[in-house]
Amino acid sequence: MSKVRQSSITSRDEIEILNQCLQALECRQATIEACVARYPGFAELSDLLHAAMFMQELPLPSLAMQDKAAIRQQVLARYQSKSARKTKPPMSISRWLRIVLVASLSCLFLFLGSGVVARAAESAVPGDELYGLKRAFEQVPLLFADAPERSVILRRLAYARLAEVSSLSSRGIQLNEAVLADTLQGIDLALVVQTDTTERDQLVNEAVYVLEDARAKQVLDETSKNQMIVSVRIASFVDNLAKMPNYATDTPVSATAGVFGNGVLPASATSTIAFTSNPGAVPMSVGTELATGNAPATDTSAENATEVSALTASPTLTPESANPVPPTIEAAGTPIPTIKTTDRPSTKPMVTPGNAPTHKPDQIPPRSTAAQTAVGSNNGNPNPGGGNGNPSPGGNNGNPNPGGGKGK
Amino acid sequence: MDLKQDESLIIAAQRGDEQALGTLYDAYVDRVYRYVFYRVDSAELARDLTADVFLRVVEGLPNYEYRSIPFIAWLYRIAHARVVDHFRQASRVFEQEAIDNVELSAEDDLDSSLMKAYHQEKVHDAIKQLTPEQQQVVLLRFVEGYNLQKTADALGKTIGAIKLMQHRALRTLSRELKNQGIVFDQT
Repeated sequence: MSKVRQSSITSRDEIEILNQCLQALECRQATIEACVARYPGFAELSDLLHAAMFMQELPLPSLAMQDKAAIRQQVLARYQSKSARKTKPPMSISRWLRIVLVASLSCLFLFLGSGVVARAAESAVPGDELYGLKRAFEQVPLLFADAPERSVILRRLAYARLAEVSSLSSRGIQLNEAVLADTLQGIDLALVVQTDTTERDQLVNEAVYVLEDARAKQVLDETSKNQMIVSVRIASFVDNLAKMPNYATDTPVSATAGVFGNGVLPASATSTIAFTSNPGAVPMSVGTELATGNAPATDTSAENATEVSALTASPTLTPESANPVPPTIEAAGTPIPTIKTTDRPSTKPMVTPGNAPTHKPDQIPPRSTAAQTAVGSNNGNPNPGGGNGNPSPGGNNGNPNPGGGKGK
Repeated sequence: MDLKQDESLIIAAQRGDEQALGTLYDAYVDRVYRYVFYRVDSAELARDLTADVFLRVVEGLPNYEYRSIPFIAWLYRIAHARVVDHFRQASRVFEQEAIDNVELSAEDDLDSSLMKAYHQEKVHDAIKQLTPEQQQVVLLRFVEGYNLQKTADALGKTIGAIKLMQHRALRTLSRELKNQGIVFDQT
């Protein structure tokens, strides 16, 4: 090994010399002394190589066996718990998307499905399979409505009930007590909450028209007690509607004159039920109370008379007379039940065939003029179109007959 | 353990093979321990930090990519970070391991063991005077016996950089050991 002089050794050379010597020592190809002897100009080489050898000769520290085992156990336990957590892999984005998509579609189908059913149920009438659903859907908005909205909704529902009655009667389907009671109750509820007199009058007009029309169109089974009761109820209700404050103000109510005048039901029959003279009062529970009367199973005239009297003279109504005399059905032999009542004082003029000459008894007032007929019935001609004695000329299907009835 | 074995064990461990992880642990725990041991003040602390290193290995194993860095280099990086964290967080209280606490095996000669323990303590103190990178190079090159290439790979350095650090580290180490009273056998 040739000697290398110090003067010619740079720091870069020192690095290389040190590395070569270390490699030679590691491979046992040289000794420290041999390396130092070769590079006499590299004074530090001996110390550097000895330091390196000192480090190499140190005993290798190692973990005690029990420590090693303890750490191993700890590490593997962590590994196991981590693996257990990984057993339920985190849901991928696509899986989340799938869930969201399925949920969205389900909601959409439910929404559309309910919408379709609701749409189908809209036209249902009492007796139809979807009618119950229709009524259930109707109640939903009421749950969330405040007072003003409730008024509008109830009015809309009342019109819906009237439309159903109209539809039934136009098809020649007899109104049963339950349907009538339901209708009357709906109208009653709507009227109670109406604060807008115009709206209330319109509803009253519509109710008067539709109910009278329905009553006139009833294919009445002359022996049917049910039909008698229905007929009487309609008559009573219409009469009471006509007497409502804000509807018939200071004029005799003639809205029912056509009905009562056609021989179906004497107007005096309705006079037994009168509302309080309080102008602010509304006919609370008129329809409801009327409808809740239960007709007995028997079919005798006397019983019918009693029942009708009881029904029309509902205790919830406030008779103007201190001793109201309930109406009675006079005879069972007559094709159409008539109710004989006792005259009694009333704050409003009673409608009788005699005092309602301006409205032809066999003519349903045109819908558009119903309010005029009621409010302004003293104009002498509330129904100029005349009539033929048929309250529902032309067999209309609930639509008003603005031009009046056909002449006979 | 060669690189191929490392790779297959790592892949197995990543797939949930507990035994593979155990094998890796057995292969590297002492090296990690030594790496930590020469850089901290007590064997107990070195043991705790070694355990911490492997627990972190478990946490990071699913995301470890073998090709980006050799496994031992990854272990050293974790160990280095743990040591640095330790010195950064803890207010250091030197717990010099007393020479009487040195465990002696039956085969060891008493004088030799005491001398080794004494030397180890001095080396410990000398190593502390090195920079972290110099410490790493010294430990890998002269304690672990890595060649230049392997050391460079483990530390992510070039061979030239390792040579330079090696030179500087030995210079400092030599001076410090002399200052500690270690006299090399100059024959």
